[in-house]
Amino acid sequence: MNTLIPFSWLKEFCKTDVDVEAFAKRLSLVGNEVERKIKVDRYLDKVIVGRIKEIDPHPNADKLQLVIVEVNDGNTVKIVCGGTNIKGGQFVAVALPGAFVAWHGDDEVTLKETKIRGEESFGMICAAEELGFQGLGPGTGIWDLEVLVKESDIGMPVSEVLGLEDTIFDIEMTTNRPDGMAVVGQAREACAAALGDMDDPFTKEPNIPSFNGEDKYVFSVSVDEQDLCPRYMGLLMDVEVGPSPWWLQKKLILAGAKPINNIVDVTNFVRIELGQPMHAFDFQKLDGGKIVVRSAKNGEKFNALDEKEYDLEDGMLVIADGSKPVAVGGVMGGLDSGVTSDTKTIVLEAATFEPLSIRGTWRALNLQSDSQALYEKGLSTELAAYGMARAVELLQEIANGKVVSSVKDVRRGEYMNKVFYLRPDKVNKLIGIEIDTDTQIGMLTRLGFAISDTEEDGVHEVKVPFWRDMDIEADVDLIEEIARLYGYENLPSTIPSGVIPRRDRDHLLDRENEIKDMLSGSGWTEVYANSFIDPEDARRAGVDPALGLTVVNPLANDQALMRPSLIPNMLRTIADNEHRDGVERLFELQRVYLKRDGDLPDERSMLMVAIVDDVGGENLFRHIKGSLEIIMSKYHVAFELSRNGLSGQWHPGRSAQIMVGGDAVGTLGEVHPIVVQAFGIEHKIALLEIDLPELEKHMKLDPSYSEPSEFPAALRDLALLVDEHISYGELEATMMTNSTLLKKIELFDLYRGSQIESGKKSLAVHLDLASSRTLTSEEVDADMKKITDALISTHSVVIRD
Amino acid sequence: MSFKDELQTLKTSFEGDLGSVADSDQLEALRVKYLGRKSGLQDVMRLLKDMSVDERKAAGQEANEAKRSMEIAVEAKDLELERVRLEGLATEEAVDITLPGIAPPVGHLHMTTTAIREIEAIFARLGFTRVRHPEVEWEWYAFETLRVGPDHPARDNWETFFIDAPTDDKKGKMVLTPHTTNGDVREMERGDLPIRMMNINKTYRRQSDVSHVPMFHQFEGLLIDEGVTVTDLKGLFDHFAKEYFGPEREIRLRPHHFRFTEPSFEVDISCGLCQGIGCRMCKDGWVELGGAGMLHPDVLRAGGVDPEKYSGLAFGWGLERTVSMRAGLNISDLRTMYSGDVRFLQQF
Repeated sequence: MNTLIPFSWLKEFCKTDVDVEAFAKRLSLVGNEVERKIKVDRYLDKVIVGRIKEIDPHPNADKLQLVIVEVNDGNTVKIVCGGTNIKGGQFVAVALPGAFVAWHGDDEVTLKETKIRGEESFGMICAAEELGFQGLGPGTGIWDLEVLVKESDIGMPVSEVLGLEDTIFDIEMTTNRPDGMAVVGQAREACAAALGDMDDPFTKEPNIPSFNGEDKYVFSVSVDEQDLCPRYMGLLMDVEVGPSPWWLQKKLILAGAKPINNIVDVTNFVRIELGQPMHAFDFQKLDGGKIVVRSAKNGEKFNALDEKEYDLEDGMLVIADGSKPVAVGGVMGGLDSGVTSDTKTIVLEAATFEPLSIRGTWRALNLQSDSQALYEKGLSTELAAYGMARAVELLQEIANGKVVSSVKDVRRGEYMNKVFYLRPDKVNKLIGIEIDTDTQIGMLTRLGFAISDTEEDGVHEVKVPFWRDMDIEADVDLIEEIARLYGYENLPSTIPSGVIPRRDRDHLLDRENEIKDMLSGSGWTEVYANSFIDPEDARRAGVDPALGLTVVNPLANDQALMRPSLIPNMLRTIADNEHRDGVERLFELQRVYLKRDGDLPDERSMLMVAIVDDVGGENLFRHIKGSLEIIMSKYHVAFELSRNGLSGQWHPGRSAQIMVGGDAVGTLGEVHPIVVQAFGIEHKIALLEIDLPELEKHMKLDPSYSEPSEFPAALRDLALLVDEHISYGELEATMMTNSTLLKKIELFDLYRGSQIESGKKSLAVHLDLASSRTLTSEEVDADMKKITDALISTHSVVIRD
Repeated sequence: MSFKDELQTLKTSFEGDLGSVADSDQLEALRVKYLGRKSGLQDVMRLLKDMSVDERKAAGQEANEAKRSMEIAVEAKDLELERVRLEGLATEEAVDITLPGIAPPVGHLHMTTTAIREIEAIFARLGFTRVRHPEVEWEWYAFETLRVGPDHPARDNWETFFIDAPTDDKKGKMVLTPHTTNGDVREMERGDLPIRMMNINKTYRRQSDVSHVPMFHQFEGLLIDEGVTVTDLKGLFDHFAKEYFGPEREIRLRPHHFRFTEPSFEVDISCGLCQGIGCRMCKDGWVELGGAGMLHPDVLRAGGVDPEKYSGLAFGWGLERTVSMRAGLNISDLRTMYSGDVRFLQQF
C-alpha cells in the first residue's frame, strides 16, 4: 500500500539535516520504498498572490470574463478568466506568464502572454488543482485564498505565503507493516536508519485528559463481539464545528486528504500521523446515547458516508446505537450520524478491529476506505489510546473541544508485549558477515525493541514494541531488522560454496527439447496455448471434459477447464489464424491435466503437431506421417499404424493409431470433418498427437552401429501398375519377403489419373540390393525376377518399362 | 603443287584459321579439319605413297613435324581459351545476387521456450538441476507449509484458482499453484541434502490485463546447504544479472516481505534503458526483477530439514517479466504471448 508522507511533517518527529534526495534514497534501501518524490511547489514558480479589482464581461465569449487583478505595489494586470466563483476583492493565486501549471489539473503547460477570443490575457487565475492540489475548492472554481492570506501578501509567491516549499514521499510499504503507513512510523524508520534523532510519541504514556465532572449526558459503550473488536474506546466531547486552520488543512492536503471540517479533519490527521483510524459520531443522532459493537442482522440496511445504501449480513461487525447501525466497524461511518455544521457533541471513537473480519466485510460490501486499508493489515490495541489522546489534544486546540465524559475503554484482555530472543552469532551466520553485538542491539533499540540480557551467554531477550505486534513472529524476524539496517548494499556478494549435489535429471525434458528443436528446425512454429480451455471447445473437439479438471472460480466460463488434451487449443488456434500466413505448420509440446480419483492429476507431456492445407487426403496424411517418421527415426523406434481404436475426432479413413511394441503411443491423421466444421475451419487439418512418457519407454538413446558395407549395392528401379485397393505396405512386404538381396525400397513416384486405366495406380520405386560380397548382374537379375514374379502372382501387378 | 608447297599451304591455312578461333567448339572444329581422320593433313599424307623411299622418309618426317606443331598449337590455344574463360567468370557467369533467397523450411520456437533454456543454462553452471514439480497442487504445498495460513489474502478465491475436487484431510484443497515455491518443500521431502534445484513451471493467478496473464511461468531456485548466507543470495543474483542481462548491469536488494522467507528481499536490476540514471521505464534507475529470501526455519522444518544445521535461500521470479525486461520488447499486452497469434509467434 502506498502512503503519502510530507517531508516537513516527518521532520517534526525525526530531527534531521539530511537533504531530501539522500533521505529518500536511504529510506528506500531499508525497506520503505520511496516510489515518488513530489515537489509540492512544482507548479508554483511565478505564481503570486493577487486580488481581484474589477470584473467585466468578455465582449466575445459568454462564459469568460475580463478580470483586472492587483498583483503588486498597486500594479494591475488584465486576465481572461472562466472561473464561476470569482468576485471583486477576492484573494487569488495568479500564475504569471512563464509559470508552469497543470491546465485543468491535467495538461502541463508553460503560460505565455496571449490573446483569448481577441482579448489580451496576462497569465491565469488558478484553480487549486492547476497548482497540484486536487480536491480543494469547488469543482470548476478558482482557488479562493480569502482566509489564507492578507493584504500585505499581495505580490508575494504563493509557495512562500502558504508554506508550500515541501516534498511529499510516496512510499510503498509491504502489507505486514501498517506501522510504516503513518508519519511517526516513517520517522522511526528513518531514525533507525541513522537519518536523524527520533522524538517518539509512543515512548510516552498516552495522555487522555481525565474527566472528573458530573456526567452531562447518558452515554454507554458495550462490545458484544470482542473477538472482532478487541478494543473500543469512546469519549464524548463538546465541540464547535468549523473549518480547520490552514496549517492543519495544509498537512491533510499534502498527505492526500481533503479538508472537510475541523472534527473530521482531526480524525484524518491522527490516522495520517499515528496510523490509528478515528471516527466521530454526532452524539445527538445516537439513539439512547448508546454505542453497541455487535454483529449486523441479516437484512439490516445501512446508509454510508458515501451516500449509498448497503444491505448488511449476519457476521458483519457494526457500530450501532440503541436501534440501528451507525457505522460498519472500521470500514465506514454512517451518513445520518456523521458530523455536520450543527453538531455540538461528538463521540470520538478509537478502536481495534480484527483484520479478517474487516476484509470479509469490505469485500462483501465492496466498500473501501482509508481506515479499512489500515485495519485489514492488523493494528495493535495499544495504538488506540495514543490516537485518542492525540485527537483530544487537537480538538481542544482547534475546535474548542471539551471532554464531557470519562473514556469508555472496553477491551478483551490485558496487553502483553511479545518476547523473542536475539543470538548475535546466529545473526552473523545467516547474513554472512560480522556485525558486533552492540551494533545489533543498537539497531533494534532504535526501532523501539527493548533488549535485556538473559542468564545464557550470547542470548538476549527482546521485547517487541506494540506497533510491531503483527509482523514480528519469531526470532528470525529480528535478523531481518538487523540486516536491512546494516544495509544490503553494504553486503559483499559471494558465490555459494559447497559441493554440487547430484540430482536425477528429468530426462523427458531433454527429449522434449530435442523434439522442439527438430520441429522448429524443419518448418514448424511452436505455440503456447492457455492451460484453461472452454469446456465447449473440448466437446466440439470430441474430448470429454470429464477427463480434465474444472476450475471452481475461472475468470470466465470459457476458461473453466484445465485441458485434458492439446487438440481443442490447437483447433482453436488454427481457427483464429486460419486466414493468416504461417498457420500451415504449428506444434505445441506441453502438459495436459488428466483427472485421477483422490489424487492430483496426471500432468502429462503431450506433443501436438498440425498441418493445414486445402486438399487433405493421402498427400496431407503422408506429410503428417513424415513428421512422425523423423521423430521415430531419431529415437530408433519401430512403429506400426493401426486403424483400430480410433476415437471420434479422427477421420475414420485417414487416421491411425501409432503402435509401438503393442502399446498405443499416439494418433495421427486428418481431423474428422464434423470436428473441423464445429470450429468453423474451412481447411483440412492433419494432426499428430504423441503421448511422450509412453513413447519414451521405447526410445533407444544409444543406437547400435553397423559398419558401412565395402561392397557396392546394385540399384534398380521398378515401375508398377496396380489395383487401387492394394496398399503400398502390401507391395513392400511382398518384395521384401521374396528377395534375399533387397535392402531398401524407396517410393519416388505415385500416379493416378488420365494416363492410366481407372481404378489403378502407378508406382515407381528405387530398390537397393546388396550382399556381403560384390554381386554379379546375373545374381541381381535373378533376384529381381523373383521380386517381380511375386508381385505379379500375389497382386496381379503389371510391371512397366 | 609439290608436297612441300601443299604442306606449307596447309600450315598457313591452319595458322590463319587458328587465329580466328574464339571458343572451344571452334577449336575442336579446327582440330578435326586439320588433324582428324578426314583432315587436310591426311590429304597431304596421301601424296607420300607416290614418292621414292628416300623422298618419303624426308617428307614423312616433315609431315610429322607439321602435325606435331599443329597439335601443340591446338593445345596451347586450348589452354589460352580456358584461361580467358576463367578470367571472364566475374562477368560471363555472373548471377543476379539481388534475387530473393530460396530458404529451407524454418520454424520458430516460442520465446518462452528460449527463455527457459537460457535461464536453466545459467543456473545449471552453478549446479542447479532443473526439475518440474506439479502445477496442480495441494494447498499444503502451495500455502500451508510456506506459512501462508488459511486466512491469508493469497488464499482468497479472488486471488487463487481452485479446482473442483474433494478436499484432502491433510493437504487441503486442490489449487493451481500461484508460484513455483510449491516445489520447495516437495524437493526437501526427497531427503537428499544439499539441494540445488531449479523448478521452472507454469503458475496461475486470477489476474488478466495488459501486464498480467492468468497463466504465466516462474523459475524457482532453491539452495539448501550448511552455511548458506544472505551474501550468497546476493552473489547468485549478481551472477544471474550479469549473465542474463549483461556484464554492465548491477543488482540491489531491498527489504521486502514474504511469508516463507526471512529476511525477504525484492531484487532490483539497474535499468538497461537509462543505465541507472532514471527514466520513465524505471524507478530512479532501478527495475524490479523479483522476490527472494532466506528460507524461514518453519519452512525448512516442514520439509524435514533441521534449521539449526542448514540454511537455505529461495527465489521465484516471473519469466515473462524477466524476458521482457531484457529484450526491451515492449510487448504492450502480455496476453499476446499465449494468444497463439502466428504474427507474434513467427517473430522469434
